[in-house]
Amino acid sequence: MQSLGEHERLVRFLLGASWGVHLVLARYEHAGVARRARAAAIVAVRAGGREVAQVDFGDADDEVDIVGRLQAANARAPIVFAFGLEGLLLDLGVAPRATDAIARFNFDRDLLPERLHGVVVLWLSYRAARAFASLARDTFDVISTSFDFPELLVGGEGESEFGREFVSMDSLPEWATRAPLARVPELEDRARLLESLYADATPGSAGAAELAVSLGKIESSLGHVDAALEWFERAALDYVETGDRPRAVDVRRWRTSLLLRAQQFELARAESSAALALAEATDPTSKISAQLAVAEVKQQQGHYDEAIHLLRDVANRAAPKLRARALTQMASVMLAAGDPASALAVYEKISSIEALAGDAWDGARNSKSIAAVLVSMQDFEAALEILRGILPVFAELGDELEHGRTALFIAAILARLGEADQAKSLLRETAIPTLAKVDALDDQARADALLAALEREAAASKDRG
Amino acid sequence: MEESTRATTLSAAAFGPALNPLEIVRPGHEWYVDLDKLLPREHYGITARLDNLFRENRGPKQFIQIGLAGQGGTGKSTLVRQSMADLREIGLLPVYVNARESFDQVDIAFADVVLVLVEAVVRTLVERGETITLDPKLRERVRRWFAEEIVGESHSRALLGELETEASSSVGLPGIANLAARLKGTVRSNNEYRSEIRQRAARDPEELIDSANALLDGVHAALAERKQRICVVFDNLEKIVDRSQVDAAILRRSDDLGRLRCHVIYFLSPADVYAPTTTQASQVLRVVDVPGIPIRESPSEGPEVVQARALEAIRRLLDRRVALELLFADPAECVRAIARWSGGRLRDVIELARQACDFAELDQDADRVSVDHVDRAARKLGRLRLTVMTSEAWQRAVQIHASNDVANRPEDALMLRNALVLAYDGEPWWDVHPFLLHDPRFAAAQRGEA
Repeated sequence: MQSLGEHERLVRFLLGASWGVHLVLARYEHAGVARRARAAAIVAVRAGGREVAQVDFGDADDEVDIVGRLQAANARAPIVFAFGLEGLLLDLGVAPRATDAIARFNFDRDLLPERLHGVVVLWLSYRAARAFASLARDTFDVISTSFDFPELLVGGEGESEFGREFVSMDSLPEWATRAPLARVPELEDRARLLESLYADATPGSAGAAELAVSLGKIESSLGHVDAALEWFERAALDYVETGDRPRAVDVRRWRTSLLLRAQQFELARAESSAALALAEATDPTSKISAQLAVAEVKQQQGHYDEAIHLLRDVANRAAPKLRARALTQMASVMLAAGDPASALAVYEKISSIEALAGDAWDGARNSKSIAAVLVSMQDFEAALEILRGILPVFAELGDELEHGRTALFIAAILARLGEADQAKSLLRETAIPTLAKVDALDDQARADALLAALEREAAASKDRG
Repeated sequence: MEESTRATTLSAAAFGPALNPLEIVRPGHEWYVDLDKLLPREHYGITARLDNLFRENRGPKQFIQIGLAGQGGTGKSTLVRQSMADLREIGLLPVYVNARESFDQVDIAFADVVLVLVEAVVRTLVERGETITLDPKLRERVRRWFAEEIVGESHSRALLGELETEASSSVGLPGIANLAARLKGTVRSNNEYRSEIRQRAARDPEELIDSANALLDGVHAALAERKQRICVVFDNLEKIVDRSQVDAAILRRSDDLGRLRCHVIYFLSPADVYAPTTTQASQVLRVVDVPGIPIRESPSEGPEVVQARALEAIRRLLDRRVALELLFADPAECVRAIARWSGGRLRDVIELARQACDFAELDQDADRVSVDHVDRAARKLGRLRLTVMTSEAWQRAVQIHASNDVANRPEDALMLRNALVLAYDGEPWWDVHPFLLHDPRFAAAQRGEA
């Protein structure tokens, strides 16, 4: 497997590096894979007679002295693994954000040879690595070398996350995902304009509420979570004043999702309760919407049985569209609970809902979810067949992002099946150019890394003879 | 750190210091190569350009502010240090300010720049052991400026303590240097006194500059016999990620800073000149571009061209660090491949060589570096570096490759900041980095697909 070769390279570097300090990047797709790679590297390095110290920045505040903490660890061992930096580089793991800690780490680059020795490995997800490249470009520029742990086709802990990644990302609305960097100036301009309009709007009016919703969505896509929460709060209050409680319920549900992604579980629980209370006196649809928010909180808190019970109840009462949504959420809970077989049955049930029959995009997306579950159940051939069927559908519908991501998904499965040439060709001809068109930079990085791993494997095979 | 040596094995080259991008090489170092003297001055180097500018401003009241615009990894700091050494003969006395040590990079004010400049001048003179005697009246004026006008009587004791008393009674520069160092430390970190100091210092910008000039004039008067003049070099300013800080504290205050009676060189990012946030550096400073190694001397030469003089410079540079004849199967061709892939960017030369040695060391069938290893190194580094590209940037890359020019656009700034568009000359023309040219997304953008 490609990652095994990369593991060997990493250990070789850690044992071979001499004099001064080397800054090294280890990029990974999923935290579980990185965790295992670190553990394996530590065992191998210790067997080679060197010691490793680890620094977890997961709990660090935005002004943490990164070099200082690396230096403290370096006093214990010549090799330092630094991880958990995502929080300093990304908001909610999605949008790049400029923290003082990273800015100073960049500025302090020339201090590194004075204060550190040996090898410092920065373990970063692909998304965080890309943010690091733009936010700390001077330090990024002196990376001695990099190691890639790009895909989950190595079995073990990451395996089930592979399919889930595609499912969970699919379920996020556009405003809840990172805006492409190129769009940031435009969005910031729009936010400024809307803020000035909001300042002139009548408080508690429908117009003010709509403006606040738009501002909340823009701030969310810029990664400014606190600002987004505040605008949504204003919108919810404005809608209540205008008497539009169903819209207020929707906005409270969005706040619930944002709070969950910020891991503020208690606040999220309170928000979902507020949504439910608002919905009590409104139409049944709003109540179902609020219940979906409650179920989301239960899922995130690990109360899977309660979440499934609630979602089943909702699905039985809801109209087709909402029913499909409840079932999709239920399948996601089942996957999180480690029950892919039940999740598969639910997805297949969704396929049969009449409302979906006429919507090619919803149908294709649901099929993709089924494929992801099949992958987690090791049924690669069945997953491939489904994905090959829906690849042209996304293209015909003009959804370049889904088209590119589905191509990447297929390529990853092909790589797993040993069909390296097919995988490389699909990556080069479809996945990478298509993802580039829509600025899906993280997906591009994943596709690049997979292609690189396949090329390395081919070169290694050639070398072997 | 142990003493640096030339690598004579692949593993030493791959894992040792010789090709480690964090190793800093300054004039006098065993790996140092004076590229400024090796390469044609019409295409490379800054000494001749700086020499001209300083000679044009030799009058007693003539001083110049220069923006030195160069991408990271082009060896700006080393070039400037060599130039300053070369220009001592025309009477320049360099004073270096490391922006990293001197500013709070997330919060810089105009007053900080002036205070830091003054502190650097005084400190440098003290550190050099210059026997400069300032007029007692001037010394008292400087002391009052620091202790009373900037800090204010209420905070003077808390901030300056006994230093203040010591300085007033001191006969030389050390007391003033101590006062200035304390002030610099205060403005670098966020504390209760900083805003007050800034407020006081900036209350009357003219007075602030006049006070700084009084000290500079005193220093120049003392240096007159030696015909020396101060040139303050603000190094590492280009590493401040938030360029609006530099814009607000320096570029937009260039009229005030231009009244300082000493030469000043500010290190800038090319994005400050060609794709600025608000103020275009070339409108307010004399800008000197620091180009890469001129592997191409004209836009009409294609990306496959490597000029003989540049090739020889790169060969010498690498040969100082690694034993090329021992480690490279075909040194001439391998160095040519490294030069071509680097686009003339110094840091990429080093990194390509290191990665190629790494691949060769891994390769069980090879005992030396081949061109294939260099090509694989380039593909690997390219993938890492191109992660910041967006679809708009790919489209712009195609246009820049065709026009050899950059514009004031966000995509251009992105590529300039990340050294994915390179300057090729003293009067720059531009082209995209070879890493882009060989990426399938570039071809897709050329076909209009991205």
